[in-house]
Amino acid sequence: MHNITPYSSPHYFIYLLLLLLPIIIGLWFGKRFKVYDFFATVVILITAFFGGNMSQGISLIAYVIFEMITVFGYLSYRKKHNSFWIFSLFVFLAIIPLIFVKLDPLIKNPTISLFAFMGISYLTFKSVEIIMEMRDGVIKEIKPFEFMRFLLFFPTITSGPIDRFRRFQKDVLNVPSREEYVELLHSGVNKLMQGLLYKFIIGYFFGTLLLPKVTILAMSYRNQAPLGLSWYVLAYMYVYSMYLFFDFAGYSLFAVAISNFMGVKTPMNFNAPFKSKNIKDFWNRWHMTLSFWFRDFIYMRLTFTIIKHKWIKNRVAIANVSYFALFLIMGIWHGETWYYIVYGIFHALAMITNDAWLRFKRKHRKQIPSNKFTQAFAIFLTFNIVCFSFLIFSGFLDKLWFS
Amino acid sequence: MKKKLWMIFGPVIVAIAALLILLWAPINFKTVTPSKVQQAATSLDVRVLKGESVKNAAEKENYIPIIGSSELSRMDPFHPSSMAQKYDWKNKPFLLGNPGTASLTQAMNVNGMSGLKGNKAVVIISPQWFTKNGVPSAAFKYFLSPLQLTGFILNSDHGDKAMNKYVATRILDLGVSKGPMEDGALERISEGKQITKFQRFYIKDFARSSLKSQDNLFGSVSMNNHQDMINKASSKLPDEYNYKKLNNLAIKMAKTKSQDNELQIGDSFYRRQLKDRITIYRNAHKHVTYTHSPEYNDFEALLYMFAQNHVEVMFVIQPINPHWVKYTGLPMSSIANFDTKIKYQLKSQGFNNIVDLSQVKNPNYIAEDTIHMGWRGWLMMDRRLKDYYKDKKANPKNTQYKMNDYFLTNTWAQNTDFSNNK
Repeated sequence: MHNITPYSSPHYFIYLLLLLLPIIIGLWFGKRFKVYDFFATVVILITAFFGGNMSQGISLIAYVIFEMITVFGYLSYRKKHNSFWIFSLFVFLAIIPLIFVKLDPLIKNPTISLFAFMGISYLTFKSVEIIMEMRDGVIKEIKPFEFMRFLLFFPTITSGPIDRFRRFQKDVLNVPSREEYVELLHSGVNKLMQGLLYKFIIGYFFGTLLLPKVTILAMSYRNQAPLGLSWYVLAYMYVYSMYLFFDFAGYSLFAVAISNFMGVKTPMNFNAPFKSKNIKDFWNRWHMTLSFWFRDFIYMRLTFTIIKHKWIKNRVAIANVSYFALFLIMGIWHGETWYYIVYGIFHALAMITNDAWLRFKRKHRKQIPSNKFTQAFAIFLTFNIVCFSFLIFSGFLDKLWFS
Repeated sequence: MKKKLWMIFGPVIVAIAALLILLWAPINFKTVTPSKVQQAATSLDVRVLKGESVKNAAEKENYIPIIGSSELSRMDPFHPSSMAQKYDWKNKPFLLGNPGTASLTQAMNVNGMSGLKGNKAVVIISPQWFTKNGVPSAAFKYFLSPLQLTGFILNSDHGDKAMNKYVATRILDLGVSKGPMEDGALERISEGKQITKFQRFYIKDFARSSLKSQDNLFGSVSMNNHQDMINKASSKLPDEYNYKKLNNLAIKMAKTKSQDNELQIGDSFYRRQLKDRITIYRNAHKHVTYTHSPEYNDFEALLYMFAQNHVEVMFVIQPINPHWVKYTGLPMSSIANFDTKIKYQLKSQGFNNIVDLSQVKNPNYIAEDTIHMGWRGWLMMDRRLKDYYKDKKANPKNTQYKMNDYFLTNTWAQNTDFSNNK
């Protein structure tokens, strides 16, 4: 038996919905069956991680134990003290397994990625969030069971969306009224169907049918022009971008839909990102739970620290440094390859340019026209800049130039 | 509340019911028309290869399949499809093969062509299939048809046990996994056991019936269309068939199409694939051999599939551009040894109709590029096809095969000393 990646095939939903049926019936009658929830989680974890040689499952268990020790270690420390350095140490501890996994491709040493399992990033984001909010004093108490339930909430276990602990608690500690639950079912069914359309029809069209064709074409023309740039590289850029969006947005819709069936309002990950007016707008619409996480726990905190210690005085410079830090870390998080790093730097530069432009526009409001045409142009430009960044992100240029 | 629930779940229930009817109701959706078959014959669409409905419809009409790989897409005027159209061959070629298809893919394909029983077929063998590691797992997986896989599993209760065992083992070794039930059935076949009743029920009545409906519904929708290409190619041919004149025409055309290089490689291919990096191929194939390969066993599986269906087969051994051979330093002995080995495997089992184009006297312009036949190569092949295509039925005298499961063993795959016998 192999590992079954959640939501990867239409069949998965038949089994998943059967498993969910008792939970749905329970919520319909205003009850949460804690024991059954636990059972369903175990079933999903076993199918997702304990196939084959079970290495992923063992890593998952080891990882959860490690994070428990870290988080609860910090909790008991935080009750009495509040040192910045101890806090930093615990954050560092919490991300050590992820660092090991992410460094693995760089130093090609399989033993250090002992913790590797699908979704480790998302679990780490959740753990770090908890530690950070403990430091802020907004999370004062948390039980080991609650921590596990939050961390291992199966609809979102492999690829998010990244929920926040306090928001999540509010949902699971509460049983929705019949009316509320009907609304959740409604939203769940709609999102599930939209997800099926996105992932298995549109995503399949772009990713499985079109992408291999443009890849072959772009590769076959790579000796004909400088840098191997042909029109097919452009075609690849758009096809890949469409695939990336529909595949991931479809997946995220599934995760939200299944959460809804379980009476949990997991936040949405996408909000029509290709309609963005500028790159900042884009990051408020694309992979939102990730970008909000980075915004709240890296960008804001870094900006705040810089201001507090007066390292830099100029406000624009502070924002720019923080952008660089944010997107560089995001790039490094994606993986230690040149194209992920360049992708990060590219977005940092895009954000900085965007901010500069907005400042300029504010100063010259009268001279710069704003109408339907300029708005359409803004969307068009943003879309193309984003698609270009996805071309970098795809790693195709690496294949085109260096393989 | 009831109305609310119906508004939420009603559309889903209706959609599921519609899907179930579409996929499992015993309705025969007649989407395959003669014009579709004609288009499919030259479309080289991967759905045609992986499906069954179009091919079986073609077997009821005047088509004889040509089973091969990438060379089939070299549609110059002398391509069999073009020649058959121009000179009104009674039966027309039905092309089955893409870049990356090799023996095992074609064995699965032939196994699924129930209409081929008692008819003729042509196979173009490429020496390049017979590499040390055999077919790459990714290529095999890409071309593996779930429909044909279910067909193979269900057919495994009859036919040669050693062959079924071999094929099932090989499919599993190549890393195929098409669902727990299918994997379990393959596992049993690979152990020489019969599949369980439940496996048979599930694969026949659940998996295969839906795959069949899908093939009927979507197998021939918006296929690639090469008919214009064939029309254009055949319009360049003279009205009268005269081998000598056609031969001169082929040389003339090939010459004008390969002026960029000294290797008689077609210009468009040369510019796109070779120009900037041709030097890396200089003497690069000095140590290449085609005599040690699991492909020989896969090829044997293909032969078994033909034998089981009493198919008469013409085998064409594809030539390599002789200038390319020289440039890459491929030893002539490699080609000659391959020839001897594959012919031994064929002839010793009664497959005697072999057209060997790998060692002809005048090999100029025999290939369209490096390793794909074209121009004169096609013409030489057409010359033999012309008569072969006069009748679509197999001659029972030519299908008296004596299959030998020694050819399914690794001993044979690695053997080069077979001059006396095994």
